[in-house]
Parts: sequence; structure tokens; C-alpha cells
Amino acid sequence: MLTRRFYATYRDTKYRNPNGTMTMAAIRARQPYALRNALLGLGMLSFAVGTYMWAYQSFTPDDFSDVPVPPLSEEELARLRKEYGLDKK
Amino acid sequence: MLRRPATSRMFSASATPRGFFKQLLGLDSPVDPNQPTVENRFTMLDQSPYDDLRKRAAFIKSRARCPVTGRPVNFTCPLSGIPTHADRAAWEADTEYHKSERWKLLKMANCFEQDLRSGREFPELEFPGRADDDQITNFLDWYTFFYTRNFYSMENEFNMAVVTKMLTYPITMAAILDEYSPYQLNPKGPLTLEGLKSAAALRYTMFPQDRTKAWQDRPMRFFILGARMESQLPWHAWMQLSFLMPHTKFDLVFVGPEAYYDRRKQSYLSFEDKHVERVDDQLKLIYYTDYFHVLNDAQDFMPYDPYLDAFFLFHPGLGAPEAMDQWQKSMPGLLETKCPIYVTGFHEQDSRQDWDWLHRNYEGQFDALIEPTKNIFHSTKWEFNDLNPQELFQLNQQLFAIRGKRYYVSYN
Repeated sequence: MLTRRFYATYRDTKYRNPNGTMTMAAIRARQPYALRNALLGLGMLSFAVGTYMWAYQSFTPDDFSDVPVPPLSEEELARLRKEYGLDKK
Repeated sequence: MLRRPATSRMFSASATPRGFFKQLLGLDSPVDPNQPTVENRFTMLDQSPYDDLRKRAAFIKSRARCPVTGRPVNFTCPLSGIPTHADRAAWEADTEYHKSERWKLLKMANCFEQDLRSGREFPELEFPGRADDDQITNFLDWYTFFYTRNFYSMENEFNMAVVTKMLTYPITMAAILDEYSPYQLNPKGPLTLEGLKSAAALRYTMFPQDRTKAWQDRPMRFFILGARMESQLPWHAWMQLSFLMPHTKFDLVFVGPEAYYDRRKQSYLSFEDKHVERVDDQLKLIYYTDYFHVLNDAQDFMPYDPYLDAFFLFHPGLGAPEAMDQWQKSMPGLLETKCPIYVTGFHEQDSRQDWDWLHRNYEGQFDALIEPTKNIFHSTKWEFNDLNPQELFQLNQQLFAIRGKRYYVSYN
């Protein structure tokens, strides 16, 4: 229902060509605002993308490779493996 | 409801992907072969297929003088199609004419005249009705105005010329009076502090905060002095002004010996008393066929109220020798009213002449409300003076405003 209504108004406007592009009059009318609108759009887009990027970054598993691990002997290692059930496979 | 003829579809459907993306981004617009263009409208004025244009060319040749030789004009400029010089040698010698590229504007003026008579459809003359309360009109320029008022989509300058010539009178008035007027306060724009005071008084009546009370004792009056062309506008053009001020009752008072033109009798009529035409509940057209100073002396318009009345002088030619003596009689009465007086001019020189004349004769008796500036809502149709084809003008191209000086009582 809503889409149909939207579609009807969209087609009825005088400022669209039959194929849906803006007419020259619409382009001329919107020209004074085109740059500012584009900048605003770019700003909003970069904020959204930035938020996603930040979220993705913050949920990536931490890297512990720089944490020093104390040296373990072979028996100790075998015992721990047995304890955590890692060598059953 | 597609207003475009079906043939345009053929041209708008882009065959190539590149064309499609250009159109999608609005970089390329389809061209309809039925649209008027400079190419398909351009003809020499004296070889025009239209009788009255050929007559006009003959009139120019009989009356106009060549600017170089001073002899009668007899040579049609091949660039503009309008007779401008005595002969080819004079035309070639006029370097200023070629350098200033005045012929380009003359050519446009010629094409506009041809287009008006071409008998094409004029869908742009279908004007919109009353806007919803939540629709704000943008007065930045003609394009945004048409867009926000939902006029016909004007494809090119020919459509614009037809409509703006008609609407320049009401929309010039609306743009000055509207709350969202494009004329900014000094120093950002031409409006002075006194101008803002006068406009604020009128807006107080036109756009009241509290709409539940009756705030108008009587309709507002917009006096249009020296009315000629503007009084012949069809009433639906003036309706556009009332659509822009939907809560205001107002009268348009046309004053001047040429204020009422009877189309059937083909002559200007004069009435003993006023002649009233009521358009609707909101708008009334009143015609007085006498000079303002005669009516003012007879106290026909008294009392004036700066909250309800404004004067509009559409190209009055205050400083022009042929009209000066009448304006000399009217101007003291006009300044006495303390109502704003908005004056337009055909071109910069014309407006400058009026401005200088006012300063010469009434220095110290008036305040400037709007400094001389270009009118945003001037007619985009270029026109030329038959007696001097090189004099190009547009209706209401320039604008300034004055008001009789007010004196404040001080108690110290």
C-alpha cells in the first residue's frame, strides 16, 4: 500500500522524466544545494562506515602473541594436554 | 499523469550504458525535438513568418537611428536578426557592439518573440493552486521558486521567459513581503534597517502569530501606481500572490490614467469613480483611472497605515523627462504617507536615473529601504526598445525602495 502510494507520487511529479531521472528544471533548482548536500551526505556516510569499522576492530579477538610464555618441560606439557583433553583426537 | 509528449520517451530511453548512467546521475538530460531552441526559432526579424514582427522590423527601420553614423537603421545584423545599423560598414565599425556581445542578448530577444508566436503548446502557463500549510516556498531564485511551488518543469529559457514575464509582478511583490524574503539585511544584502522596520510592520499583519483572532480591520492595500502592463495581467496571475499569503486579505489598487484597458474596445477606459473587480474572498482588484496626486488631494485613499499599505512603482521612469512632471506632483504625497515605496527599473541606467532624480529633488526627505540592487524575480525575457534596438531591458530588472522620513520625538 505504502509503496504504491510512494510510487504514484514519484511518477506524478512534474520534475521527473518518464525514465525517472531529474528534469533540467529540477537540476537547476537543486544546484545551489548540491555541494552542501553532497558534503553532508559524505559526512554521514563516513560516520556510519567509521562506526562499523570501529565496531569490527573492537570485536576482533585480541592478539596475545607478544605475551611472554614461561618455558615448559615436555612432561609438564604432556600433563597439561592430558588435563585439557587435547591429545585424545 | 505524464505531461510530456510521448515522443520524448523515445529520446529519454538511453541506448548506451554510458548514457544511462549519465542520465541516472542527472548529468545528461533528454532533448525533445519539439522543444523550442535558439536554432529552431531564429529568423531575421524582417523575414519572420509572423506579420506583426515584420511590421515591427519596418517600424524600427523607419524610426531608429544608427549609433555609428546617425542615419536611419537599414541593416539587419546577421548575428541577432534585428535591424541595428545603417549599413554593413557601420555594423562592422561598431566594435563596442561586437565586443560587448550585445548581439547575443538581442538574438535571444528575437527568438523569444518568434517563440511566442510559434503556436506551440504552452504547458508552462498552467499554474499551481493553493499550497498546503506545511509547504514552504523558497525565494532564492526563479528555479527554486518554481520547484517548491510545483510549477511546470521549465525545460529551457523559452519556458522561463513566458512565465517570468507574467509572474515577475506578483512574485517581486511576494519576495519583498514574505517572511523568508531573499533580500538580506545590510551588509549581507541590500535591505537597510529602516527597510526591515517597514517590512516587519507589513509582515506583522500578513503573517500573524495568533491566527485565531481577527487581526485585520480592513484588507491590506497594495497600490500599484502608473499601472500599465501589470493592470492587464489576468487575475489568475495575481492569484499566485494570494496563494503566497494565504491568511491575508488584500486589495490591489491600480492607479494611473492607463490603469484599465478594455480588450474588446481596444482602448484605455477612464472611470469617474473606482472600478472594482472582486476575484475571491481574499483578493480584490480596484482600478482608479487618474493620477495619484489627484486622488490623494481628494483624500480618496485616506487614512494610510504603514502596517497595511505599500506602494509599488513598476518601472515608473521617475527621472525620465516625459514622466517627471507628473511624478514631481505625486512624490510629496507619497512620501507623506510613510508607507514603503518599492520601485523597479528596466535596466541599471533606468534605475540609476530614478535614484539620482530622487536624491536631487528630495534629499533628506526619505530613507532608503532597499539600496539599488538587481531584482531577483525579474523577467528573464530579454526585450529591446524599438526606437533604439541596442537598448536591452528586462521587466523589473532593478529594484530599490524608499519611504518618507519619520521623525522621532525625543524628550531630552
